[in-house]
Amino acid sequence: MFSRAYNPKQLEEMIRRGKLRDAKSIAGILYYFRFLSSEKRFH
Amino acid sequence: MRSSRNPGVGKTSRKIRNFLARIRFLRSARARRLAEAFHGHRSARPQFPEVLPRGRGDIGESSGSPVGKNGEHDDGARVRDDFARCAYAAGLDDSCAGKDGPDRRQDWRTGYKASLSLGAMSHRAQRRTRTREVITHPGSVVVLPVFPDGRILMIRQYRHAARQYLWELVAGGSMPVKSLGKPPRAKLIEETGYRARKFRIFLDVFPTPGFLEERMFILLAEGLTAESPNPRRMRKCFPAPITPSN
Repeated sequence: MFSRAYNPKQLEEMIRRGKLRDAKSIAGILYYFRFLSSEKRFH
Repeated sequence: MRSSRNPGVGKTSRKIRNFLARIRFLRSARARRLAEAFHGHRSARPQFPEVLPRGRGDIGESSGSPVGKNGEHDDGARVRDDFARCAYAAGLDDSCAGKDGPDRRQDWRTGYKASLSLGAMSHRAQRRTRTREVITHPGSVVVLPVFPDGRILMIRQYRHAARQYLWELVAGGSMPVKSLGKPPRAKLIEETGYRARKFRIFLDVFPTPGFLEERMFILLAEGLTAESPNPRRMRKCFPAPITPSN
């Protein structure tokens, strides 16, 4: 097991390409991007 | 010879039968669940936290109380939920809670993370009873650790059910949040090597409500700091360095 930090763009790309396939992670990350994080902060 | 005409013999045998039936009931799993649910001992059912309205469920060190900062609860909904939970744990009919529910249930197989049970659901409106197979689960917690620069910490580990390595958030199956004042700090440190200063529940979902009883809480973890390496507390993990990403 190892860990790594990804920025939002990398995570979106991982979800789009099917590299990130864990449903709970996809749900949590997309919810966070859509409702909790501000776009000015990350993009 | 036992005869129904002899009231004394019949009464005694009935007493013995009732006594044996009572002993069997007291030794059954249902009686144990009943006692645990109503006496508040270590319950077989999960003790879910009182989920606050979104954005108000801060459970970090800054709050320090099982009640949110604003202290707003829907007491009626919480009581109804508690009643339904106790009734479900005890295998009782929770029709008094104002909604349809399981009349009785039978555990088939009890495992470490989940159990398979058979429950008879009664639909009062349709006046019928249906049998459903349900996998009972104590609930789970998913942690979304966010660095100050907006990056999100992910882990990669082998999942036997998927037969492959997966990137995912830190998660703990069979790890119910006992109370809002006890966030899964140890789990985060164990799997990532980082300590979070503040946790907040931002999503409460049922991942597979068709047959799985699991209730999943997704927490936002902020204020991450690298924990000093402690082999007793950390699993074989390689923490991500705190460097600005390109």
